[in-house]
Amino acid sequence: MSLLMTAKEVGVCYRLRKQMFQKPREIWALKSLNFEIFEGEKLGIVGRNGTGKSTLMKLLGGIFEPTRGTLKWHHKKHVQLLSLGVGFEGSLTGRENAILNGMLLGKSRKAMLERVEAIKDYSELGVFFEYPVNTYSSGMVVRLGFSVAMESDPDVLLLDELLGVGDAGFLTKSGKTLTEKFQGSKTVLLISHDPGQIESFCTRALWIEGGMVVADGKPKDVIARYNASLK
Amino acid sequence: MASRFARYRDIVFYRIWAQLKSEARQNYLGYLWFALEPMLMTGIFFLVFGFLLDSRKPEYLWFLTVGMITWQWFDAALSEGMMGLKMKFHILMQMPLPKQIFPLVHVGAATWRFICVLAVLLVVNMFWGAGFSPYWLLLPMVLAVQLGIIIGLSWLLSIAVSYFDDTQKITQAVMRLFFYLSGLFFSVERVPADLQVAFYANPMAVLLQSYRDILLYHRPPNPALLGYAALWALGLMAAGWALCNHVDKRLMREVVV
Repeated sequence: MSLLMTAKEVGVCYRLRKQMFQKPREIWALKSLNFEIFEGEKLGIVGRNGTGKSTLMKLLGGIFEPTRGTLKWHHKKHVQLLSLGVGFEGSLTGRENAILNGMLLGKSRKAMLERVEAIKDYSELGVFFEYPVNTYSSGMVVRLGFSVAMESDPDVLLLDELLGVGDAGFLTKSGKTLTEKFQGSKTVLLISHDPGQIESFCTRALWIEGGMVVADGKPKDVIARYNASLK
Repeated sequence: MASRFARYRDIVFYRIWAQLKSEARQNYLGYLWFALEPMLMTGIFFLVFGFLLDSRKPEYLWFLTVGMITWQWFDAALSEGMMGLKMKFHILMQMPLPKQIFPLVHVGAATWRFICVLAVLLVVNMFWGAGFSPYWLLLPMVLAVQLGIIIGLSWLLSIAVSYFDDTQKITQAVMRLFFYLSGLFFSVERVPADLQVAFYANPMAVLLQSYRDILLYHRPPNPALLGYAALWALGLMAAGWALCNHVDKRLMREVVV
């Protein structure tokens, strides 16, 4: 497996809005992170709430760069955070939002126009696909979001607490689609609070605590140590 | 690189279209408003100022209308454009997009609305105003300069607003000041000779004068002054572009909490 990314002593600091006569306040979400990602691996990330897991995903997703340390991708890759329905416009139809959202996710307008029928079929929204998203239930919004997100096919997929969405029928279907991503050659990162998921889907696991990597290795071993720490 | 540029360009245009469409859908009369609103606006100008002012002076009415409408574009596009980034933080927190995109979308939508107003104004001017002149062909140049100034300022201010909300209030105050300083109500002849250089240091004063030259006096705008305004446009756009790139990979961890 070839090396895909190296993080060296990566720290991320959020700055709180400063007011006059007030000292600047800072939150170091990640302190000093050292780890690597290899091509094609499925990396699970565990850790308690507020230990910097989501910040790590934003970092890898290119939302921002680290405040200190270096994060280096060894090959130019399309890395993408899976987000559902972000940027939907309520007064636009499902079809229009699908095109708009797909473009935000890295597809060209032309590609989206070609794929929009497939998205419609996958989402099973039927006539509602031509209705404004404002008329949707929250479950329908998620369906549409998921169907679009699955169209964009990144080299590295970042999943923050997400494996399958929707009602019983769609849950099975979306779960299956996501599982396929884990079986393919793509690189996938998964944050999960369900140890079972990490153990069954991932080839490697990372335990993050207090903005640092505490354990890195086989999912089974890492989960065991993590669970022991919770007791 | 070219394909990435094409994608961002498509996003901007598709979102402008989507925004206008979604605005239109809120109303019963829908797209009709793109024609109705400017007609109402110009109608009110003519009605109010026609009554209030000496009706024997229709030139002043036109003088005012041309200034008001082009200023309105500047004001609306800038105040929407500068909020463009902040309003889309939720998207930028999930997707790594250039910070230039969303201010452009808002400026684009405001500009489309202005184009509708301008179209109405040109028609009215042709038949009931100063009439057509070949100098109208110079209009796109003046419009481009103003658009450049608006875009450059929106990029700069949208970043500033992201860091300091205060920027919005300060900008509103400064806009009000320039509303009175840009010669909306008075012509440059009324400015004392020794202050005219200072008056024209403000590119908006140059632009308003240029619109009037073309539309009302049937003469070309002063090339030196318009060139000077164009330099402002280029400078502001370059500065705004550079600032957006400078904060691109840090904005979202520096401003959100």
